[in-house]
Amino acid sequence: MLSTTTPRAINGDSIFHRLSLTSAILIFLVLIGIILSLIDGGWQALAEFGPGFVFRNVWDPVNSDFGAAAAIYGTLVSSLIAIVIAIPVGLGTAIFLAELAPSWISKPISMAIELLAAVPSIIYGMWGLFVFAPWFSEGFQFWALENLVGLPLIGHWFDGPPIGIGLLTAGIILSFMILPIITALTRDALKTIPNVVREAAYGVGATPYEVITRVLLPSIKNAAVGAGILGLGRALGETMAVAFVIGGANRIETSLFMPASSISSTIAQQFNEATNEMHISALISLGLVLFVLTFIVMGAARLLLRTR
Amino acid sequence: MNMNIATAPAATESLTDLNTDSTLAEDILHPRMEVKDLSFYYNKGSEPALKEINMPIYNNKVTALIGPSGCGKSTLLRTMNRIFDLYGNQGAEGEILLDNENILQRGVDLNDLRSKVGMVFQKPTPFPMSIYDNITFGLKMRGGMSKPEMAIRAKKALKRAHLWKEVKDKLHADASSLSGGQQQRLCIARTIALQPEVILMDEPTSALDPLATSAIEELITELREKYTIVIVTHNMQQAMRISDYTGFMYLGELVEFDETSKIFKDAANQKTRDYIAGDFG
Repeated sequence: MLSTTTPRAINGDSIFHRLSLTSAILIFLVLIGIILSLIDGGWQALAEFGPGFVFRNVWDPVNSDFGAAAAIYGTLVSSLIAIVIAIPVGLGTAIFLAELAPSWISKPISMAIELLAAVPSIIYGMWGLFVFAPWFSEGFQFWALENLVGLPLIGHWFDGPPIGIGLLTAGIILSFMILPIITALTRDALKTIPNVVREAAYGVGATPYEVITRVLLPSIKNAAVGAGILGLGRALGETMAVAFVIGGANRIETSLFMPASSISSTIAQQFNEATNEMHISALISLGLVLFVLTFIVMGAARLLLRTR
Repeated sequence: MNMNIATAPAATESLTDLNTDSTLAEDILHPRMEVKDLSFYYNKGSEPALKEINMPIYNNKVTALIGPSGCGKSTLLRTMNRIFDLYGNQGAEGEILLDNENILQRGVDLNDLRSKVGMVFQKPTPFPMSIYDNITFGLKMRGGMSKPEMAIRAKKALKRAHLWKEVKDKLHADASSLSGGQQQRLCIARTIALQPEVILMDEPTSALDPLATSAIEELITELREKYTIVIVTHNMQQAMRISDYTGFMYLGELVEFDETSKIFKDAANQKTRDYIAGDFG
């Protein structure tokens, strides 16, 4: 019996083994292929401007003079704004849903958050441009110009034209977009904490606030960091929504009200119009920069999650 | 006591005897807690998970609750510090007296109750903080204790839980770095640090290896001198080894309650005898 079944099992196993190995190698090849084609396509610009491409604050298609600094700045700052808003709101929502709300409240809210994640980014962009931006201009920006500009340190962030679109608007729209993933991941992490841990904490006389802040949140520290990084990863690469509301100006300004640009929005907006080779090459180089940036962020996340 | 008198006449008698025979016995045997006509519902309006339980929890004794899975022994334990209150739709009827006060009535300070009635769970539940912070967590929550006082209390608790020697050089290491048995002793130490009157233990050794189990059992036997202990266990040898009184539960009822030696050698009820003989469960 054994002698007849064993060779067949080995045979099936080895076919399966080869198949899965091939799939794994294929993914690796695709990754390598993307990197190589990005380097190849961007070579002209990279050769022309050197490694300084990433630090040059100039984007002049007419004179074929390009640098990535403004786009990198816009990408990083808008993503940072998104994270700063989305982490506390997402964590708060997750705590409410997992720990405090009765199920007849938490179920519809959970569902709404999951639907929020399913909204296509172009919808966020349109909504951001047509609905949010005018409201933001009248509601917040005018108020900020009168009341916040005078403040030390942060005042100049709000010193700009109240036109509704710009870096801050892009950051806020991005925060809506990454809120679902941060909320869902931290909520799921909270739900994986066994109930006995809560019972033990209540059992030594802790209040709900103490149980949440002292016991539950430290337990999900890693998951929360991971959720934040994943959100950041999504914000860095988000294209359509940002292209709508960021304003499309290749400048570095300290004011968050000023129009700016991100890497992905620049590529999306200019690829159709790029006619000369240097322009196309510079855009592809921007893509390579975004690739490396995302790679670094994800790598940092891995490292962070491993050591903590 | 109106526990199942019809089914357990011998048990009731022997208890009455013990209570009245000598003044000394009466002195030692004053019930620290008393469960009276307790019924418990996991969902309001559904079948009760506990049916009119009556039993005493004697001071400075170890009381074991045994019975097949789903008989309600853990449920009974969880009513004694009202941990079930965390879940909205669960409810208890009847009385549980702690020092002659009904802990089930409204307006009882739950934090105060839980510092008087501590609990140790099936699986070790170290909090995500250092060993030292785990021990002092409850003390900090309660407040009103200086840092040096807390340090003394923590050391005492760790010594009493036989953990001091193993952790004294790494008090500030993460509690999750301890082994399972050490973690469980840490949880016991955390409970002791609050100086409770009663310690509830829900199968505290079921997740531990034999060596760690015997360490915990020894500890329980020692702790009896200072505390009143109620322990739920699946392991009948364990109940026999460490408890003074045993309650046998079946289908939400307390079938028989008596001295442990009586339950295991000469139980009054046929069901108890069958369960102990291993016929079911």
